[in-house]
Amino acid sequence: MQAKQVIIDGHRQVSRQGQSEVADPREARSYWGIVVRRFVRHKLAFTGFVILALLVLAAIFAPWLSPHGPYDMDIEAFGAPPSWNHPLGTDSVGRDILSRLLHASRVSLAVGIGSVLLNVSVGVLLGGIAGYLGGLADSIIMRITEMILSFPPLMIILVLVSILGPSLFNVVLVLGLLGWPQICRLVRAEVLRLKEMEFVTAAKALGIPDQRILLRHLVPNAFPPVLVAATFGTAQAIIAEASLSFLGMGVQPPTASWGNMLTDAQSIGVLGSMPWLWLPAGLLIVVAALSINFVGDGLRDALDPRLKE
Amino acid sequence: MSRYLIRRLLIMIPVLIGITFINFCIINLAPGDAVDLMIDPNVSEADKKVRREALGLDDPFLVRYFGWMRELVRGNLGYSYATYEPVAKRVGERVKPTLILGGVSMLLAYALALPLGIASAVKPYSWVDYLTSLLGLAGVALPTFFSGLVFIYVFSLKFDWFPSGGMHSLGQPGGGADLVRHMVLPVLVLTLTNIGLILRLVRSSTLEVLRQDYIRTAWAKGLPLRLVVFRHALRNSLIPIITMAGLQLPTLIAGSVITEQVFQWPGMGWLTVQAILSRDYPTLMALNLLAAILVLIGNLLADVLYGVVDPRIRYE
Repeated sequence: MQAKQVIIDGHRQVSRQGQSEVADPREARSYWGIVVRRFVRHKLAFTGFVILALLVLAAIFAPWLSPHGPYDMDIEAFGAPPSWNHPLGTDSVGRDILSRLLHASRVSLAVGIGSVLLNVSVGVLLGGIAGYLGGLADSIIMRITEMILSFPPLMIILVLVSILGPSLFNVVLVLGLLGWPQICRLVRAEVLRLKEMEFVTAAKALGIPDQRILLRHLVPNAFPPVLVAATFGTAQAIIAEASLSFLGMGVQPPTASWGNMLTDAQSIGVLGSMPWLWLPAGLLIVVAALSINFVGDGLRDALDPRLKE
Repeated sequence: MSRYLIRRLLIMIPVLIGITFINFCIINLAPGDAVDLMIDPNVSEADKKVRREALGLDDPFLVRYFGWMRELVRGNLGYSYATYEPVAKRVGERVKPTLILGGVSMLLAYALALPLGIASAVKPYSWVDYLTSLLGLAGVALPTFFSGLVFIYVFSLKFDWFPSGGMHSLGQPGGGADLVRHMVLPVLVLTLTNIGLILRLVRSSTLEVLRQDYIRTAWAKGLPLRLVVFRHALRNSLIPIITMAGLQLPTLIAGSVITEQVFQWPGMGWLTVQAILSRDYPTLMALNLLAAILVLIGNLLADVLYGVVDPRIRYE
């Protein structure tokens, strides 16, 4: 409980600094209250948020929403077009597309969120250390980020996944371990900016250990930019997972993911004659990526302390 | 300038050696090898061992690394595990198609993004600006495999305007017109994904420059829009764009993996996928090495171009 208070205070400090000259009678409203108000007013962002929430709910309740099991084969309907029984048709072995799509949402969203959580943990830790300690630790960490950033992303992801073996877990691992440099840079910049400020000196004078100063007093200030980067990162991770699975090097069948549901469409026959097989999965990827990007844009605007209400 | 170039090129050597080593390590960590994949599972372990010895797969790690490096320096990249062809030949014949595809789409992306991005920065909230943000979204939210499939579905299956894949029509002499017909769809897909990022960058960097004092002065002198934008603003807003162009060079070569796969374009991206699926490590290492070299060259080119665009930047 106490920790949370410190985090919020940390933010107030920053936001007040940004607009200290404004004597706003509504000063009492909390930083987060303002952020939420701004976000909700941002029409595209709010729409994106609602769509995203629906997708997440659909993923959570997939087993109850699905008309059929994701692996159940209907021996009377192989590659059948949409009908009352199968609203989006069936694939070439008679599995219901709608049910597979709903279950695939779980996989694809989990990969997006899981790999970004990993990104953020590694990025925050290394960025914090690099910024706070400086010197050799800083140089080493920054060289590593530059190395990772200088490889063509998909190529290195492909090679690593093929070596570890394609699986859901390995896809999350590889995407998570290659995506952190950006977060690391953001956190480092914020820590560098703040570490000479009075509140840090005060904390040091109070005898608070470095580790605690870093994690409780400095890192939380990097939360707004990290949240925005993580949001955009989730969309990128979802697309990367879909691309890998599309090539057959991501989530392995029979488990459905949005990407591997499009794999069959690489054959011209399927592409032309069974659009219900690949179109919905592709559209879902686009819708998910768009909504997440809108949410990211909205968050960036809403969290910007320089903007007044 | 030439001293700067020489120093930069010399620094590239240890970096490259480091990259070859990491590359070799990663690929040797892989479980299973080409022998497991190419031989019928019924073949006895003894026979597999003979095959492994013939391919030199049983030697210790460092022996294989130095062996590979020695041959690399002589210009020999080894032989493909999958087809037994020399890797240099296998990769070499894929370079041109990739360069054609990547080069044309990158040029097209910049040719469209520069005027559009500048126009949207000069007139925010105009229709050009909305078009720009729409195209920008396509880049971040439209995966190439999906746009590729949709284009094939619409333009080659429904309307039959363009071929669905390959580089030349089979059994025909295949002149320039044939090549262009095959290029339209993959170029469209790649341009659409690349243009988004470039547009956003051109717009934001131009906006940034237009806010500067010397631009206000230029307006105050009564200069026409053309001169303010092209003489005073453009050069300054080009710097971040050049950085990105340099960074995108390797993506142009290696990043079209999926587009090449979807359109069966016989380039390096498609070869990457084939090499991964057949665990053809010599080919894969050559491709990775080539990508790494391109990254280094791209960064160097960008640094040199800074000096051309901005005379304030000097190299000693």
